[in-house]
Amino acid sequence: MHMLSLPLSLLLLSTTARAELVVVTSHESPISQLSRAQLAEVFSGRTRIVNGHAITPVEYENADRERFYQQVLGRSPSQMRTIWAKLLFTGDGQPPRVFGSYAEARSQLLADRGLITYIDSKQLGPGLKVIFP
Amino acid sequence: MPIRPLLLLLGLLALNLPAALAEDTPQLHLSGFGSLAATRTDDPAIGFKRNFQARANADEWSFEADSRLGVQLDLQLNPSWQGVVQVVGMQRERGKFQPTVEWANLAWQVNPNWRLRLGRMVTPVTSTSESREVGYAQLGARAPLETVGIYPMVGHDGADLRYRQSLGSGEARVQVFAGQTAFKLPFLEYEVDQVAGALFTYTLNDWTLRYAHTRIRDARATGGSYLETTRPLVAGLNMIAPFCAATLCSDTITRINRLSSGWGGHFNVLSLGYEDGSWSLQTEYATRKLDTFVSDGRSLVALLGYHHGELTPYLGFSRADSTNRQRAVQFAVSNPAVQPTANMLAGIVSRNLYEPQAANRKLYTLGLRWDVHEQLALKFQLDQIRHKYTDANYNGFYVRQPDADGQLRPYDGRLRLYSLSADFVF
Repeated sequence: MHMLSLPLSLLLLSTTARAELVVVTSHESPISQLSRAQLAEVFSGRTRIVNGHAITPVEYENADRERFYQQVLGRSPSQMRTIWAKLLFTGDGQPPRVFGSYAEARSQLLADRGLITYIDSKQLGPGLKVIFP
Repeated sequence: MPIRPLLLLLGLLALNLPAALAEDTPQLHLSGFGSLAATRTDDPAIGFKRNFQARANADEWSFEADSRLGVQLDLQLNPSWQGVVQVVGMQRERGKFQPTVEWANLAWQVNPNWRLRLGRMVTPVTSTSESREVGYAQLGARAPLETVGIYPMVGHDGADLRYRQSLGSGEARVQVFAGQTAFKLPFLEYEVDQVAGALFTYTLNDWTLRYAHTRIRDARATGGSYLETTRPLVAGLNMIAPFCAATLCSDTITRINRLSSGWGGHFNVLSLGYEDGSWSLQTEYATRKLDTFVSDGRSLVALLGYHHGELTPYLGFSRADSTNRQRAVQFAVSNPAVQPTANMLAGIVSRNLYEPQAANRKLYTLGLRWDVHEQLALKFQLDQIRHKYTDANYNGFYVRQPDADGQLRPYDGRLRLYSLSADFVF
């Protein structure tokens, strides 16, 4: 029993660590913290300016969208798609731009301090700062 | 597109766009939306359609009212400049599936706060006016017709300026717009020289508060069978006008003449919306005041949905009221010899101009949205409708149907509308 539970608990720990999603931006961004509610507004396109600063959300291929929408934004993927359809077809904005990879998204974030995205905390590297949680 | 907005557009192009284009590679993006939707009323006395469509269907399933297809081409010239063209095809005033350019504009994002658009856009009268044809973007089977329908036109060709700024913990947006438009109904064609308005939106956490004020001026009927059939009536009314002994008589005749000489009005819409991971709430109160014989009106919509995975059951209540001109009129004249003619004309005005507006109604809505795929939502909706006036010859969304002898079928004022739709985006 003990022999079985150790690998199991390690696996659980590993899963928990991988599951930590953080929202990041360039370390040069004047934004230091965003609330869950503000993130929901920004990613749904209803807000593009927070505390006087322009913010544009971006995504990348293989981003953990479903978990981010559910756990952080508190929205289902279908809710987000409905919101974006309304934005797109009324000329009021676009869904978040999707880059081909996280590496590409990261280089864009470093070049433009108005961009934000979400990553696994283990992917955090130099030049980026966490603004949520 | 009218000449004035086009000149403005060319001016802006000359001002800034060539330099901007030199720096970036334009990107084209094609997308679209559509609905394959069937509707059916449970009473042969009342058909259902959109107000601008020619054909209404009653007591049998029909794909003609809500089915449509939209295609959109976005041109991202650079981060600041974007163009869009959207064409939507559906049954229109001739009773045929017909495409119309709904959006065709160029937007200049001056900075994060300011945006200027020039060209054709849908007039943002209510919170769902701009997205009303995008079934996928609606919680229910269709955008609420009770509030959307309070505005008789759709879009305008002109300019639109928006400013957005943080306010407290939320974001405030102020938008002003102006332009002109033309619009076709099955029996009437309009040109409107002035469409203008302003709207204020405030979003805070999951709430959105919105107020919009829209005005139209110099709206003139320029064609259509209605104009021809009412011409003898208008001539008769103008003959008795000098003998009017009451304000109702002279005021009514003046208002009817404005149909072709030019009329105007204003529209106020207050909306409050809420959306979180579980609940979706849409409430709206709209009023209109016009200086022609078309009735003033007010309407109310409330729609509540609960998100449970890919299923969203919803229920709603809405009502629409013509606040005047839904009952018979009497013309009192000073010359007794003219009174029989005045009575006859008052009868024609009551039956043919006033009664069709008397579709005062309440709706109770029950439905289910099922997001079966990333790009497809199925909806099942039942609307229970109560009309206040059961004898009137309605037109608009709910249309009284004649029997084989041309007489109106008897109607008890209670109607069910069933809707099934597959709304998709691509």
